Amino acid sequence: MTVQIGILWCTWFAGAWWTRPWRLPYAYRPPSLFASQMRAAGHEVHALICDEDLVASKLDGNPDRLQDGLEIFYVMTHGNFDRQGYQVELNSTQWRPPISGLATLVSSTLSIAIFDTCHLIDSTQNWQALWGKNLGKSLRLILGFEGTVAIDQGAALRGGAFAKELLAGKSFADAWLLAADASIDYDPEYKLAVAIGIGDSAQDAQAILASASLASMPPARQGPTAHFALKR
Amino acid sequence: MNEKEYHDLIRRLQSDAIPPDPELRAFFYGASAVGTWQSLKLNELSDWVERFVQGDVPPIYKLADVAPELNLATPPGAASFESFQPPQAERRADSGIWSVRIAMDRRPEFEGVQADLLGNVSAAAQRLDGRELVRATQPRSEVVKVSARSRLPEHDLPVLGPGGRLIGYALGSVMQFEIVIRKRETKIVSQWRGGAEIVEGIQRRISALGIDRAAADLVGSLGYFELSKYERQTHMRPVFVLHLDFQSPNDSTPLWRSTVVEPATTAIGVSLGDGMGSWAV
Repeated sequence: MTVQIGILWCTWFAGAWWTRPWRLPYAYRPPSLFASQMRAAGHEVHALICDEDLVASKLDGNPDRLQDGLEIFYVMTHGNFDRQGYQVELNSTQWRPPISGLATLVSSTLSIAIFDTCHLIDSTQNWQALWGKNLGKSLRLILGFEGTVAIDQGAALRGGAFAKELLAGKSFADAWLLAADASIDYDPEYKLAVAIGIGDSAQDAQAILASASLASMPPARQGPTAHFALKR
Repeated sequence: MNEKEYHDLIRRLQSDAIPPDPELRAFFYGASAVGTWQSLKLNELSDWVERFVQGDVPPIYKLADVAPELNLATPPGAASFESFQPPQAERRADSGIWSVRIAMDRRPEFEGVQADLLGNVSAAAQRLDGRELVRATQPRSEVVKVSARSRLPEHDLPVLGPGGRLIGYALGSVMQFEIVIRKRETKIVSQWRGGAEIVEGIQRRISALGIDRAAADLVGSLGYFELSKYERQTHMRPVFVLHLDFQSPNDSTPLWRSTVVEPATTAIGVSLGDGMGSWAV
């Protein structure tokens, strides 16, 4: 089965964020290496947006949201987590997926979202409540990192490694956790990959972590409330 | 680790749900810490590098293209279990290193056999290249269950980088061991690069990250460098590794991290990029 993939990254920042721009010159590598491996295996790269073209209105607009037409969505940029929840830093604006919503269109096909950034969650806060406000039924997995994470030319191999593990048959969750651990040259505390399963119950969310894979893309949830299961 | 602790570890590895456990240690005997990491400031780089380049020169090693035979012994008690599944070992196609999968049978009667089996993996890993295995920091991960780094005792240097490790991943009912330890085949006599040249290289790499250098905290170490299981590697060489932690200028919040790697020595017939993988850029 062919899956539709979208990749986004930001290598430079025009905004006045953190008082000065903080470039990420190697941010193109993880999503590109991921897409390269996946495309070679027959999957389709349906969307590719970077830098100044990566604006919030393409992600939180109404009705057009590019991620809703994808199945796998891979984003690499800066991220942070505050009292309002997770925030993605774009070229000159910010995007808050938990607030603007992910996969909220009835027609959305988005199943797996990879936020290859720092601070997808913050365990010192009630991240489940902050993330759980506005998630559509098709979205079943969110992958990312807890705390800060490394990005340099070598650590960026994790994108390609993730694809390799997926194509070898591993679940999305295990593929992400293994690829991050094996690719990044840091002590474990500084590359703490996380996988968040989303289900109609905690058990359902846990089952998604174990079972969702390229060969077994998860179906949409049925109920109105998103429950989470976390795997580190 | 005594016998009781060892078997306790096996029980934990066999259990259905293994919680993140700071007490869960790699099942190898520890040695000294891997890497002597030193906090640095940018203006201290020259002195730091010069201290190393006055000493004995560590050689560069040409690595075997694929890992040698693993020689993973079957535990003597295994034959008495009809359902015993021997470990599945295969060389990765991309890097040539060994990956070993062991089915974890949770029945108590298997405990002894599985303890022997895991011990045999660690022994085989050490035999591959005659390295010393050292406990690594135990991750807060449900998946990364065993993590041991390696060092070269003959040079008193650690092996740094994403490789140089024996890692055990818990994947459902299977433990998957990645033996990211490549065989050194040929010793190549090398010479220290000039201290100023090394520092210039480090600064150039930091500048290439495109950030304000003054905003980063640095820690550095000298060691050999080994790539991940996903990359083929031709040489293993002494390098200076620096980790840079970037912090918010507003409130010192940790933001992200980067690593730069600079070759410490040169040798005829070995380019500066050999053995560096993606970090060569």
